Amino acid sequence: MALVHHARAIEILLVEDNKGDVYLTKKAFEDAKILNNLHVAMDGEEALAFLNKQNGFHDAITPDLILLDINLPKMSGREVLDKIKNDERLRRIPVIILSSSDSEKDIIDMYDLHANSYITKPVDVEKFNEIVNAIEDFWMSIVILPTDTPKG
Amino acid sequence: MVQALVARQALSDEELKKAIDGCDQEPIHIPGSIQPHGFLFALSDDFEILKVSANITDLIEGNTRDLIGQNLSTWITKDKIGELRDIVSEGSLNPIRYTTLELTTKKQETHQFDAVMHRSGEVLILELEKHNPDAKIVHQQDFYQEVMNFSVQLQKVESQTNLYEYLVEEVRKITGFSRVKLYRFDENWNGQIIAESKELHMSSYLGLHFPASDIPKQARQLYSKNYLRLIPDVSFAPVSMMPDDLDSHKKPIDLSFSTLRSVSPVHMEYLKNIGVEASMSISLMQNNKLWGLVACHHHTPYHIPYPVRMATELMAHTFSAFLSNFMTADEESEKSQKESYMRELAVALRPNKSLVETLKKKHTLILQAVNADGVIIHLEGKYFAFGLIPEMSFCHRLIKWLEDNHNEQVFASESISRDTNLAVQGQAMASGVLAIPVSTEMTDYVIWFRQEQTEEVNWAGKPEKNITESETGYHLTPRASFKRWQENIRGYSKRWSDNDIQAANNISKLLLNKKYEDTLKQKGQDLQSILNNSNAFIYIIDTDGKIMTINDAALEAFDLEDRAVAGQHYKDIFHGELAQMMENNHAKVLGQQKSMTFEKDFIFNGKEFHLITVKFPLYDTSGDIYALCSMSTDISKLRATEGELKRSNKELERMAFIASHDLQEPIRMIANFTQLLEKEYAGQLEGRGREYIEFTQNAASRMRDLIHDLLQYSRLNIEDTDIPIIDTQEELNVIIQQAQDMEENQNAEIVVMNDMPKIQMKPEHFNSIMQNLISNALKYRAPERKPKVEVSYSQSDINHEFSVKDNGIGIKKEYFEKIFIIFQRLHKNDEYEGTGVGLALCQRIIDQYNGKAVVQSEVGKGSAFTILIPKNLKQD
Repeated sequence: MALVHHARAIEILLVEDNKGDVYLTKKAFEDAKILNNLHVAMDGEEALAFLNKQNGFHDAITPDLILLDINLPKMSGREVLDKIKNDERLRRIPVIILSSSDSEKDIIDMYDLHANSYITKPVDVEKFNEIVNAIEDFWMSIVILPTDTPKG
Repeated sequence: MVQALVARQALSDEELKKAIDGCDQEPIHIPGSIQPHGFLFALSDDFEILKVSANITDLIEGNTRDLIGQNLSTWITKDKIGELRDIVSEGSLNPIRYTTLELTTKKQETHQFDAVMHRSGEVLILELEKHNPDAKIVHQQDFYQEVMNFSVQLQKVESQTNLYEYLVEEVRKITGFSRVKLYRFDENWNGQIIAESKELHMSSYLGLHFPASDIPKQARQLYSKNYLRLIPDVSFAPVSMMPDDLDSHKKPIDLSFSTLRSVSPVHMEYLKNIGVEASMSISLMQNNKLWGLVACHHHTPYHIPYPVRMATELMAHTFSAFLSNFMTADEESEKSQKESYMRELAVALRPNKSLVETLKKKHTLILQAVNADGVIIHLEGKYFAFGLIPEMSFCHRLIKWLEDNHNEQVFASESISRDTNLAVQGQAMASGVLAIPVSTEMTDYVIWFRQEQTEEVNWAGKPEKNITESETGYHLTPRASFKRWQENIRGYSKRWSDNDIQAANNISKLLLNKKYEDTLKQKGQDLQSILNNSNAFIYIIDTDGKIMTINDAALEAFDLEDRAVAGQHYKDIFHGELAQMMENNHAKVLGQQKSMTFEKDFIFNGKEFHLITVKFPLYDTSGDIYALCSMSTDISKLRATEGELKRSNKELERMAFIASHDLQEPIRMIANFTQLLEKEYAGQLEGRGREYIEFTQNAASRMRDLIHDLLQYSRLNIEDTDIPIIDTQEELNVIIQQAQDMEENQNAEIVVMNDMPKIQMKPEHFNSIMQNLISNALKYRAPERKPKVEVSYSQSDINHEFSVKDNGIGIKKEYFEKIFIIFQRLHKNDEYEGTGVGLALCQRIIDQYNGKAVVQSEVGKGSAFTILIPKNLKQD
C-alpha cells in the first residue's frame, strides 16, 4: 500500500443544520493555516446524497474529512455515521463528531460506531479556532492514508 | 311447711336447744331395765345365763344371782335347746327370730311363751312373753290370711289418702287398739296426723301437728332400727337387769332391738297426759329414712301377742312399699310434666329465635315448670319480669344481696324474711325465692317467686308450755294436753321441692346456653359480614389442609362456583405450582407459629394474580394451633400503577434530558454570537451597548451551567449496567487534586482522615457526590478563616459511611431538608455561585443505591455531610 502525501486543499464535509454553527465553523476554517474547502450539508440525507453523489450532487467531491453533528433533522448524525462506517467506499473517511453533549455515554456510543474523534461544540468563540487547530493537528497526523481515498 | 316454732314463744333458741339436746341425749337404748310383761335373758352362745331380768323370780324360785352362770337347758327341753342352737348357728338373728317355747320350773310347772331371740354385740338376747291363748290371732294361717288380704286390697287403693286410711283401718282391725294414727314427719321432723282410725266417741287428732321434740333424735334412730315398739301398760314399773351394769362393771347391754326394752319416763308421762294406757308404734320407712309412724293407742292397758305384732309390722312394710310406688308415680308424673315444659321451652329457644321474644311468649312455661307465681330474669343489665313479682326496688336489692352473700349455684328459700336481712314489702308476693345465676360471673340471675301461703297449723297442745326449768337446766316435759292450739304462720311460701330446683336449674342452663349461642351466633354473623365484605381473598384451612371457611371475594376471584369447596382439601382446588407454593408457605407459618407475609405472582385458570398474602395461625381455646388463616390482597392494580409511575418518571427524565440537551444549542449560539458581536463590533458600540453585551454573556453563561447540571441530573441511571468495584482512595485523590488546582482553593486544606475502602459503585456517581460535597465545603467557606475539609470513612454492618466535614458557614437546621431539593438555593448567586442542583444530584444518586444522606451542621462552625451507601446493593 503506497503512501501519498497531499499538498492540495483538504476537502471537508460539514454536516450541520445550525446556520450559526455553520457560520462559526466556516469562519474558523477561513482563518486556518491549512488550505481547505468546506462543503456543507444541512441534514443527514443531504450528507449521504453528497457522499453518494446523488440527487444533484453528481459532481460532488468525496471529502477527506467529515465533521458530523449528532442532532440533525430527518436522519440523525448517529445514523449517518453508521451508514458511512458500513459503506465500503466511505468507511475510511475520518469522521469527527461535533456535539453539544459532553456526556460520556454519547462519546462512547460514537466511538463504538467508529467515529474517529469527538469534539464538544464550544460555547466560547475563541474555542472554535482551537478546534480548527485541533482538526489541523488531527489531519496532519492522519495524512498518511490509503491511496485509494480522496480523488479530485 | 311447719317450723318448730316452740323456740320463739318461751325460750331463747339456745335454751330450747339445750333442753332438746338433754332429751336427745337420754340413753334410751341402754336403759338397764325392761317392761314387766316378759322376761329377758342375756346368754352366751352356749346358753349360759349372763344376765337376767329381775322378774325371773316370778317364774323361777331362788335368788337371781344364783341363776347367773346356769344354763338355759336346766328349764327347757333338749329338743327346744337343739332348735335354739340351730337358730343361733344359722346366724340369722337379725331381724329377730320368733319361736314358741315351754319352760318347766323346778316345781314341774310348765309355762308357754312366745320367744324372740336376737344378738346384741357378743351376747344373745332371749325375750319371753307369756303366750296368750285369748289373743285374736293364734294360728299362723290366720295372720297369713290377714296380711294376704291387706296386700290384695292395698293394690286396689287409688289415692295416697285412701292408702293412709286403709292402713290405719286395717291395723286397728287386726290389733284392736282403740285409736290408730298415721303420723308423718316433715323435713324438720315435726309430725302431723294424716290419717286416723278410732273409736267413735274419741275426739279426733286428725290434722294435728306435733313438734319434733316429741320424738327426739335417738328415739327416731331406734325407730329406724327396730320397727315395732309395744308398751302394753304405760304405768308399768321397770324391771332391772341382774346383775345390774354397775355391779358387773361390764358394758351395759344395748337393748335397741329388744321388744321388752324399758321406756323413757318422759315418754310415759307424755302418753299418760293424753290418756293413753297402752301404745304401739310401727315405723314406716321410705328410702331408708323414717317417713312416719303408725301410732296405736289404747285407753286401757293392752297387750297384743308377738305374732299379731309381726303381722302388723308386715302390713306396715307392705304399705311402705306401696306408698313408695305411689310417691314415685306422683313424682314421675310431676317430673314428666316438668320435662315436657322444658322441652317446649328448649324448642322455643332455638338458635334462630330471639331470646326476648321467646321469654315474652313462653314465660308461663318458666313459671309452670318451677311452680312459681312470678319470675324475674336479669340478663346483661336488662330485667324481664313475668307473673306476680315484688317491687323492682326489692328485686335490685335481692340481686345485690345474692351477689354479696351467696356463692352457691342455687339459692332457695321459702321465707326470704327468715333467710335474709332484706326487708320485704308486700311480703305476700315474695315469701319464697328461688334464684339461680345464668352466668358464671354470678351477675345474671333468674329469680322465681312464690307467694306467701298463709297456713293455719293446729298443734297438739300449745308447744311453749313443754319446757320446765330444774336445777340441772331445762327439761322437756310432755304437754299436759293435746288440746288443739292454732297458729298462723306468715312469711312462708310452699317449699321449693327438689324437682322445682332441678327444673329451675335446667331453665337457667337453657337460658345460659341460649345466651352463649346468641353471642356466638352474633360474633359468627359479624365475622361472616367482615369476610364477605372484604376485598381480600380470605380462607381458613385446618391443620390437615381442609378448607373450613372461604369468603365471597376468594370464591369470585378463583371462579369457584359455590361454598361446596368448604370441607375440601385446598389441593383439590388449587393445583401444580400454586398448590406447592401454598403448601410451602403453610408449612412455614405452622412451623414458625407466627404471622407471615408473602408476595406471589401466579396464573390460575388462565387469570393472572399478583397477591400480597398474610398467613397466620389460629389458636383454639387451649392455645393449640388448629387452623391457618390466609388473607390475600390483589396488588395487580398497584403493580400496574407502579409500572405506570416508573414509565412516566422515565419519560419525565427523558424530557428533562432532551429539553436540557436541546437547550444547549441555542444557548451556545447566544454565547458565541454575543462574543463575536463584542469582538468585532465592540468599538462601534456606546457604553450602554457594551454593558448589554456583558449582561447577555453573563446570563448565557449561567444558563449554560444550569443546563449542564440539569442534564447531569436527568441522565442519572444505574439500572442498565453492572456496577463495578472502585477504589475510592484513587477516585478521591483525583477529585481532591482537581479541587486544589482551582485558583480560589489555593489556601484551602483538604485532608483524608483515614484509609478509603474499595466499594461497589459507579465511579461517576462516587465522583459526582464527592465533587459536589467537597466543592460545597470549599464554596461555603467562612470568610474569616482558612477553609479546611476533612474526608473520613467508617462502616457499619450494612453501610459504607463517607463523611465530608468543613469549617464553613454552616446551615440552619430548618434548611436541612430543603438543601436537597433541586434548584433550591439558600444564597444569592452573587454571594455564592451555584445552580442548586449539586445536592439534589447527590441525593438522587444515593437514592438509587438505597442509601442515605445525613446532615449535621452548626451555623458559624461548619457542616458535616455523611453519605451512607449499603454494602449489599439491591438492584430493582
